[in-house]
Amino acid sequence: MVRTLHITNDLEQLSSFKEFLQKVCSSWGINEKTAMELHLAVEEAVVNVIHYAYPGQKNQPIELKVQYDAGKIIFTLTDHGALFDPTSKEDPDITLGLDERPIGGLGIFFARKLMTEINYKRSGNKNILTMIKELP
Amino acid sequence: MNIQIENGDPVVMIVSGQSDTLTAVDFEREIQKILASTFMNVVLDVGGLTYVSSAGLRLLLTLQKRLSAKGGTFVVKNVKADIMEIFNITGFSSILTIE
Repeated sequence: MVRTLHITNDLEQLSSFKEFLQKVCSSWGINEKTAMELHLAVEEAVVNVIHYAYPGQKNQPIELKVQYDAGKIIFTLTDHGALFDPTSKEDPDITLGLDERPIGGLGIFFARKLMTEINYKRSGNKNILTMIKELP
Repeated sequence: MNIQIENGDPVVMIVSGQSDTLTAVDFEREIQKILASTFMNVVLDVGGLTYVSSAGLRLLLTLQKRLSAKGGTFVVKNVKADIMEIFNITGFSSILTIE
């Protein structure tokens, strides 16, 4: 089963993403806790693409494909923007105390923690981020 | 996300719904108002919060840091299990004062 969402690089489009994910989780019988984890991880990835893939440009395409196959849910996030590999960022040090803890860096960390596998590849002029979660 | 503020000492901020990138703008506005004021102590009641992503967590960290820097206090209360899981995964359970 495959569902696809097409949005543009505008944070306002996150509401379409939320609705899309809710419908997908509901129709595939995914439990609430897992649905929240998927929402968290994928929202971070989508927000990163909106922020970084198309600097200075508006109305640029972003595609999110979701597949459910053999107990795994697979998200493929594609854009045609500047090369951006979110997996190249280091995880934040979550043991740091209040004074040392920087404000940013949590986005991809969430995705790594909550998904079973994350892969990035650059194919031609596209960024393709694949996030897989094995369902309980 | 719904935000209610009860002025006093401490200021009580009651949030419900989802704290995500979209609702972060309003949340940040309310937080900046509190930080610009003379109020030093804040209690954040998250009993009705159903979701918090990195945008919301970033704001909690800002509030914690800035209140601590001016000698104030910040307490988060009524944390439900799902939200606690997020706090644990991100290490925020050690940074925030949770009751």
